[in-house]
Amino acid sequence: MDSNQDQENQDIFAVEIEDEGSDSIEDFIRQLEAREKDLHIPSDLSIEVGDADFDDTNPEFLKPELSVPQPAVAEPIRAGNFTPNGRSFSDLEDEVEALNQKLDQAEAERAELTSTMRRRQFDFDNFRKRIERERGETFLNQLSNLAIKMLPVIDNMDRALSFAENHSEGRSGDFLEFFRGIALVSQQLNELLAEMGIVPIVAVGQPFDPHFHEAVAVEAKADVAPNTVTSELLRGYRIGDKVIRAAMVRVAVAPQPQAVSDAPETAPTGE
Amino acid sequence: MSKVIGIDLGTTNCCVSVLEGGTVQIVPNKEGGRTTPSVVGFTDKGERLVGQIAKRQAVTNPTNTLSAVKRLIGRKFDSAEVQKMRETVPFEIVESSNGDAHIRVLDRDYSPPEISAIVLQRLKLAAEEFLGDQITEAIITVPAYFDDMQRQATRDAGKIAGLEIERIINEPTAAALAYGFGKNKNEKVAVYDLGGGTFDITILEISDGVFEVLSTSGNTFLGGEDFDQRIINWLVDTFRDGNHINLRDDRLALQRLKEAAERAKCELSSVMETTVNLPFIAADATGPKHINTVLTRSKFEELVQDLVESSVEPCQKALWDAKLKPTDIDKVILVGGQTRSPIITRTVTEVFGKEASSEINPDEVVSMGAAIQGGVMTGDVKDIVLLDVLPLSLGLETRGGLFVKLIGKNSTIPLKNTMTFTTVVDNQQSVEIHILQGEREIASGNRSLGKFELVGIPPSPRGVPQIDVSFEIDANGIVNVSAKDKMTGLEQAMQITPSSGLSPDEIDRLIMEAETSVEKDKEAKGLIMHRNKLDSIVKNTRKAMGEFGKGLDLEQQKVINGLLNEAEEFVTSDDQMQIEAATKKAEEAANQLTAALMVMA
Repeated sequence: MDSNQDQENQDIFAVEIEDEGSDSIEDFIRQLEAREKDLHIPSDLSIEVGDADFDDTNPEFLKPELSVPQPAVAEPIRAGNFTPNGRSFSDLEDEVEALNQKLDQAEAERAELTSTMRRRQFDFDNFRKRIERERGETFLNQLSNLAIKMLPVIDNMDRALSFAENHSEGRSGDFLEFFRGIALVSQQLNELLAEMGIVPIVAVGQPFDPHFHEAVAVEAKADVAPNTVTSELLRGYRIGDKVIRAAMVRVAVAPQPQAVSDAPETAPTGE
Repeated sequence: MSKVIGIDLGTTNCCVSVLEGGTVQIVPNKEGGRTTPSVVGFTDKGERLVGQIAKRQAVTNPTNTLSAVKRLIGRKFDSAEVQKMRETVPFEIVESSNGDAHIRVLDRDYSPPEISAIVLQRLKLAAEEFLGDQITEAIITVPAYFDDMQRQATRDAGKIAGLEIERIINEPTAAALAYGFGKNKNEKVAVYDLGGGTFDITILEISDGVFEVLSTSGNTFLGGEDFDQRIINWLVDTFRDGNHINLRDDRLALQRLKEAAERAKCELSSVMETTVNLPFIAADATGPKHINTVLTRSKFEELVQDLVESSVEPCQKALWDAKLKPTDIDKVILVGGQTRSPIITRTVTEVFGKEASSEINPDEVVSMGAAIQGGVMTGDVKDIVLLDVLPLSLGLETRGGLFVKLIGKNSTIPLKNTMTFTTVVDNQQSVEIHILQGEREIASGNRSLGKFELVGIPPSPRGVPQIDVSFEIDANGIVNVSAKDKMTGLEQAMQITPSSGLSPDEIDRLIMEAETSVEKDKEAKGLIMHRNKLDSIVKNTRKAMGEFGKGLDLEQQKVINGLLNEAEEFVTSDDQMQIEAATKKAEEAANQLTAALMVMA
């Protein structure tokens, strides 16, 4: 609707209402008569009742008349004060604004959730791959965990045997038989390890390699190349390439006047 | 979608973790360990060994095996710490041209960040293998008392290793993050960190994303290893009293004792007594000697009582410095493996009057906190904001060598502050602006960052000229200092970029070097894999020959065995081409054997 036109109409009505209050009754009647002229239906116009759309309870042409008292409430009309469903234009603008905000918020939330979801998916894929990879290693890991706990026992068995071997001179036959029996038990144990894939790390005579050997001492030696393992203090073990325990070794260094020499051994240890 | 890893770069051990699926995962190293010893070894073959493997060869290669390099990072050669360290380590510490402490290895000088970078590079590779993705960013933790130079040196180490260091955060702050602090609560937290070789106590105040370090104290030469040593001493002494044999002279026995002591210590954290069982530890004319001794928790606690006591005083000092009473502390966090011992927990509880928290693995908690901060950087963690703060105060030297603070420690950066100064004598025409960092009131006790002069002040009685000095710190920690004479408008300024003593050019060069060394490592790895392949083909074929070879005619056997013998010679070769050629021969042998067996079948 054109708001200017609306404004004009309003002005006219306003004048009329003013008149109503101030003029005499004659004047009012005169005005009514003048208005009746407007209602006069010219003779060249016929009314067709046959029209189905025609509503005779409130004929279209009477509408301006009927609505007269309503705008008389005289509210200042602002642009945009159009009120379908009883809500103002500015209310709607606010609502659109609010909805836009909500939409932005929802979109931001969606973007965030998508990115979180992607991240989680990525994490999960990695996790799955890693678990897959680790599953292959799990058996080996468990085996080596078991071995780590068992190795000290085997070490001590070796120590016992090596001690008995060094002190077997002049012992009775019974003792030697017993000793041989224990040696067989030890052999059995070692075979069991080998069966599980747990093998000793070769050390003595090899070039020292910290991936497999742990140096606990050095000794000056002229007859072997420097950096060669000269003796094994504690046997190392591995499964495949995986070191369960590095071999504890003594390593040769070139003899020099000031060479660091190893402390004297007091214990005949299993070697 | 690259991750930001969290690294606890410790004096004795490092730990890496990463946020995955909303939870923190510890990244294991290549050998499967959850922590990696901070040790680097240089072999005469030009190999660089890191961690456990470097440690294993320390005895054979003491001057080229570097440990505890963190004690040197960002420090001057003539500082007390460096001089003290020179006396105790077998490797050579030298003075660089700019006065920094460097390390001489195989006739080459290395800066501490380069050495740390070698460790970091290894940790980065482990993380990449773990995550199956490139890693380019990290958060690294440092002790709360590290100054700008030490922090920058740590940052440079990361850079050399190919890591962009998104943030350097304090170790106690990281521990507090791992415990979930920093979520809009105002709290005061004490972090008691007893690591392998150092002890730190830090009091933090946490509010609105700022983890303010109220005070720090500690002992840089107290750690878990001292506790082990007490048990070893006790075992050795007890054994000597009973058997008149001194086990200290026996390296293997000592090694076994060390492991047993460590195990006993760990066991005593959960049980009241444990048995130290070391059969055949020694022998004399009378026969073999064994150690089979019960160590009770109370005996252990008696042995280490004074060590534990020595950590109490720093705690009280830290409280005093923070002007707090024990009751003001809301929570106490335990960091470092040694804090698992009940005697520590008990002592800490006594000092602070409340139960200490140790739910999170104390060896991993710092790195976990760093990973959480990494998650903040990538957007995975949203409810924590950790603001960057200035670790130590910044200021100027004024009359009589006094230090005037312009920006206090723990101020959140970026920020700016201005203060007005004046002249000391009549008709003074220039003023020296000497910028320092530290907490001491005497300027010489603090670290000098740089100085410049403002000249051309018009002659006037002392105290009349007004000189505005402004300090401005940007988000990258770069400090701009300007001095302006209010009357004449004369201005002089200086920029201080955090520096570790390495120039940007040097850092670039080192990055290049580090990258090539990774290539070398890859080559070495490739070589080993080729060798292993050759080895297994030769062995398997020999085994098959042993089982089925007798069925082949003699000529065939000869050819196959000949090929295998030729191939076997190169199993220990260092030349990849030779190994590959040998592998072809071995494969040829295997093929011939298979073909012959097929014909037989």
